Amino acid sequence: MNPQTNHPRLFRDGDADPSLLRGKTIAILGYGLLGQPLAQNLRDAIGSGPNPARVIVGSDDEPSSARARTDGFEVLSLVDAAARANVALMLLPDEVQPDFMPAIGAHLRPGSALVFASGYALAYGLVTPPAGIDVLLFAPRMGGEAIRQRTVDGRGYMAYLGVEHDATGKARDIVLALAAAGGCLKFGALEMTVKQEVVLDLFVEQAFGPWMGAALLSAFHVGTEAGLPPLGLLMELYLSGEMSETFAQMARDGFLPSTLTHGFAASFGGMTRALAIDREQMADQMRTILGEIDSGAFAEALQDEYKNGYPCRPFLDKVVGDDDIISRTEREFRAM
Amino acid sequence: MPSPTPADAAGFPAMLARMIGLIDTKLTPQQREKLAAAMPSIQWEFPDVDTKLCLAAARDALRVAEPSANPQFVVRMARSTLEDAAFGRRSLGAAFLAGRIHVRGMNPLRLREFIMLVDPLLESYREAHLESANQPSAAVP
Repeated sequence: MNPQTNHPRLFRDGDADPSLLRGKTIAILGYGLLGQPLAQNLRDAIGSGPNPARVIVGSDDEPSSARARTDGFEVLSLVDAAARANVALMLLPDEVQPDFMPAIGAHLRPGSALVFASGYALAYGLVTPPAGIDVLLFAPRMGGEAIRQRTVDGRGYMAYLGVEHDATGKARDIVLALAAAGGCLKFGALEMTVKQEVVLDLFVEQAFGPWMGAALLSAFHVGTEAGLPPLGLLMELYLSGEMSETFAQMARDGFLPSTLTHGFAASFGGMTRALAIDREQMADQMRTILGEIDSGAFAEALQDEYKNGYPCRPFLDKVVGDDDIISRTEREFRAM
Repeated sequence: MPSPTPADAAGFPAMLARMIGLIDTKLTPQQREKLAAAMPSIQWEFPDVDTKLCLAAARDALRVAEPSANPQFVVRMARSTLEDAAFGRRSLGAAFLAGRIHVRGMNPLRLREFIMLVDPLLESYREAHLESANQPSAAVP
């Protein structure tokens, strides 16, 4: 925590020494959305030159393993990669980590570091890493493609990092080195506990995201019912990129100042309509969601879903995969 | 899948009641028990045909119960939405995405129990619909 501002401490490149990882073996356990860009970023940063780090991939999933081999990485089983690692990044999906952790933990060497990219399994007590290793958090706040692109561009990306257990006395230096070599510290990383990380992540995903999605769908359906052109509605809502520019402007210039830059008609209309929204109802629902995340009720439901073979998945996939009017309109636009 | 001749509006509540009876035969005792624990009553509302029906789930059976004035869990849709889903013209998921199904009061963390009901419900509605259409006394518009 920064005592002057009461904000979490923000780390940047100058706070880290990525050369600490040179000569080490870094195992990427899971080559999926995060594994691929992080492995590539680490290899680019410290995988060549004097005393290079060795970036290897641990995967028990054949399609992922094949992708990693195509990308030029040595691929081992999860436990064999863990056994070779000085630093192992746990990048398996949250809900499956408890099944793999005992075997992985048993193969980690004393004095090595186990790095979680999500605080979920640790925060809810679903995994217990072995004693004698550093337990670290390095949680990028960006999708995999953006992680890679922003690193190649030299912009970096936001992440949370933290030390859950410092067995070696060097745990913070290691996680900072990893964040720097992984490309994030050009932008910055905030210090968080695993519980803070997972509650923040799940809360915004579950409290804010669905309201935004529901507002978008409702606007589309009300507009089309009234005879507005579907393509025009999608353009206004997101397809033109204006909305993503607005979010980028919020990040750049500030949330409230950005609302004043769209002309008076937009500010007047938006602000006056916002006054009529029942925010207390919205807030009540968000409090319920936050309570269920904080108490572990959501984690219990997710683990139950996993243990039962993802019974909700076909239903959710079908909602997304149906030939609905929005997807059809998007396809028709792309073909224009 | 083409739907058969639609049953008349007056026969709709009876068809829904029959649907619930048929669902009951398709659930395992374990599924019924889970449903009873997660959502003991689900009120189905079809405002276009002014029909409400309450599915009461107990450990031993599913039953039709009196609709409540203040139901805890409500699923509201047009009759045609249910029939489109039952006869494969449009999935419930797509209808939900299109704002044609309104759900109120469901605990999202118990989605699994609700989903468990969906396929048996659609199949049962289809069967009830066919039975109704095949009855000699069924009114056919």
